[in-house]
Amino acid sequence: MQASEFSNNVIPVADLPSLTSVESEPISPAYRQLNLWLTSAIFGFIGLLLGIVLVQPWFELPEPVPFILLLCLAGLVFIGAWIFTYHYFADPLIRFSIREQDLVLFKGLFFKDIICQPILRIQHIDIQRGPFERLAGLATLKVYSAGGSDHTLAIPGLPAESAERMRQFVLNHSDLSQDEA
Amino acid sequence: MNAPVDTTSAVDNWQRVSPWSVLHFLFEQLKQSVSIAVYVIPAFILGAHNNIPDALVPFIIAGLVVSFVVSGVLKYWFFQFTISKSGIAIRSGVLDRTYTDLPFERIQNVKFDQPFYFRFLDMLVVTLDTAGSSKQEAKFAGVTRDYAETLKHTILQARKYHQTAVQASAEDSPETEQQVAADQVINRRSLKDLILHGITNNRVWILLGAAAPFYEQGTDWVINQMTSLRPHIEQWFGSEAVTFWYVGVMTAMLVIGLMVIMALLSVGGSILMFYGYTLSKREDKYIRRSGLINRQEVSMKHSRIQVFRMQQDWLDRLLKRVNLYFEQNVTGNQYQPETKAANKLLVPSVTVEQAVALAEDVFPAQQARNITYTGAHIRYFWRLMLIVVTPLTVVVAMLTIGFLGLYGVLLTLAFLACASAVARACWKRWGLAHDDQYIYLRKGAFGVDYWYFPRSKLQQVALCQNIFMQKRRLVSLDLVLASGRLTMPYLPQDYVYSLTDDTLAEIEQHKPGWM
Repeated sequence: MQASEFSNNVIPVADLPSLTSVESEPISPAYRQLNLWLTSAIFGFIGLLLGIVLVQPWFELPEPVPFILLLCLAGLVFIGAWIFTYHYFADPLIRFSIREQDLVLFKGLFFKDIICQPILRIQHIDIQRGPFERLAGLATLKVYSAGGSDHTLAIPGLPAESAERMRQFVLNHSDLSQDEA
Repeated sequence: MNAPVDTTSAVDNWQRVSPWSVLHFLFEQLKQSVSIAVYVIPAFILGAHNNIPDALVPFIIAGLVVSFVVSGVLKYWFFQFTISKSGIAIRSGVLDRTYTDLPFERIQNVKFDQPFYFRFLDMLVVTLDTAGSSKQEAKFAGVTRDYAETLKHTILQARKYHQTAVQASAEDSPETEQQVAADQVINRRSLKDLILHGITNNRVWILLGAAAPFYEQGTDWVINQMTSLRPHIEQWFGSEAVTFWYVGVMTAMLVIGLMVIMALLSVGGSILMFYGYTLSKREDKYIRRSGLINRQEVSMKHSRIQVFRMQQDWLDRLLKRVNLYFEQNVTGNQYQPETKAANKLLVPSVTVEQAVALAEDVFPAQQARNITYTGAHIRYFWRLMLIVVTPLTVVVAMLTIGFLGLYGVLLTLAFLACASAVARACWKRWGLAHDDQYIYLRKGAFGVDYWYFPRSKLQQVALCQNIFMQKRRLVSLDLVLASGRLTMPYLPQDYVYSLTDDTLAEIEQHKPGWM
C-alpha cells in the first residue's frame, strides 16, 4: 500500500464539534464589579436626592407629596436591589469561546442563551469602550453579520487588550474575505 | 476599490439625464409641498389670510409655481453623472453639492420605476441600491428604456467581472452567457387574481364583509326577528337587556358596513399595485413588473434570495391561494412597506400548483409541503395559556362581569374557549424540519406559513432556554439569515443541537457564499 493523504478512520460521534461541549472562558470579573458599582452609585445617588428632599428642614412639602416620594423611594430601592442581584448572579455566567471557525457566547440567568457566529459570516467587527468601561480597563467586542443590527453578537467585559487580540484574530481569519463581493 | 473615480480625466464625460427629468423633480417637490400644506393651509385659513391682501394671493401662487419650476430645472441642471470602469460617480444638489461614488460591486439592486408622468414618454426612474445604508442610493430620473437597460447591463457585467477576479474559484456561472437572452415570463396575474388578493389580504375583516350581497335582506330579517323576539327577551332578561341587544346588533351592522368598505379599498390597492403583474426570469434574475399608474420593476438575483416563503391565511386556504415571497438581504433598507420593499419580491395569490412550481424553480428539490415536521412541545401551549390567554381572560371577565353580571360569566367562558382554541391551533402549527439542503419552518394558527431556506444561507444561530425548559430539555431556536430572524419555540434539545452542529459544520467546512 502506498502512503497517501487519504484516510477513512472512524470518528467517534462524541468527537465531532458540538455546541453542548464547547469549553468556554469567563469574561473579566471586573465587569461584574463595574456593574455592581454603577448600579449602587446611580441608585444610591437618586435615592439620596429623594431622601434629602424628604427630610430637609427648609420648606414644607404639601400633603400627598411626601407619601409619593416615599413610594418612589421604595420603588427605587426595589428596582436597584433587583438589578444589583441580577448582575451579581448573571454576570459570572457570561462566558465565551473562540473556536477555529466561530465565536460562541453563553449568557443568561433565567433565560440561557447560546449564540454562535461563524467567522465566515461576519460582516464587520468593532470594539466599543464607554467611559466607565475605559475606567475599568474593559471593552465590548461587537460582531456584525448580515440581517440587521439587532442580531449583533456582543461580548462584554473583555480586558481591552484581549478584545483587541480577538478582533485581530477575526480580521486575520482567512474566511473573512470569502463572503465579500 | 474605494479609490474615487478619476475626476480629472472624466471631466469631459460628465453627462446629464434627459431634460424631462424636470417633470420628476417637479412631482417630487409637489409631493413634499403637499405634506407641508397639510400644516400650512389650516394656519392660513385660521389667521394668516387676514394679514395678506386677497389681491396678492394669485401672485403668491404664481411665485410658488415659478419657484418650483426653477428649482426643478436647477436640480436637473446640477445632476450630473459619469460612468467609469470601476463605478458611477454622481454630482447633485443645487446648494449643498453632494458627490456620491458608487463602485459597481457595491450596487446590490437595480430597480426600474415608471411613474405615470413618464408613461407616454416611456422613460424610467432607475434606482441603484447599495448594500450599505439606505441613504446611499442613487436615483436617475428620466432615462430612456434603452439607456436604463445598458446601464443595468454595464453594472451587471462589471460586477460579474469583479466577482470572478476576486474569487477565481467562485461557484458563479461561467462568463459565457449571452446577455441578449430574452425575459421568460414565468408567472402572470390576472385581474381576477388581484381581486382575490385584495380580498384575502384584508384577513379577518372579510369574513363578515363577504355577506354584503345579503346585507339588505339580512337587515330586514334581523329587524323583523328582533321585533318579534322582543317580548320574549323582555320577559326573560328584563328591559335593560333589550337595549343592550339592540345596540349590539346595530354595532354589528355598522362593523359589517365598514368591512365592505375596507374590502373594496383593499381590492383597489391590490389592483393599483399589481395590475399587469408579470414575474419573469432572465439568466439568473427574477424580475417583477407591475403597477396600474406607476409601473414598477424590481429584479432580484437568484443567489441573493435568502428565504422562500409561502403564506396562506385561513381565507387563502379556503380559496386555495398562496402568497409567495422571495426575500433577500435586509440590511440597510429595513423600513419600507412590504409591497414596495426591494428586498422582498411578492407573487400575489397564486394557486397551490403554481406556488409549488415557483418554489421548485427557486429552490429545487424542496419538500416543504410533505416533509414531517417536529412540533413544539405541549409546554409551549401551556405557556401561551399562562402568559397570553389567562391575562386576556381576566381583562374580559372584569369588563363583562362588571357590566352584565351573570351573562358576563357566559361571555367570559366563551372567550376563554375561543382563545384556548386559537392557542391550540397556534401550538399545533409550529414545526421545524430539515433535509440535506434546506431547513423548513411552519407556523400560523388557522393559516399556514411555510418558510424555507438553504442551510448554507445561515448567518448566525442562537439557542435560548429558560430554567424550566432546561429541566425538560427543550430549546427555542433562532436562525438568523440575511433577510431577518426566524424563531421556532420549544423544540427537543437533542434535535436542535444535532441540527445546529451539523449545519454550522457544513457552513464552516464548505464555506458557501450567501449572496
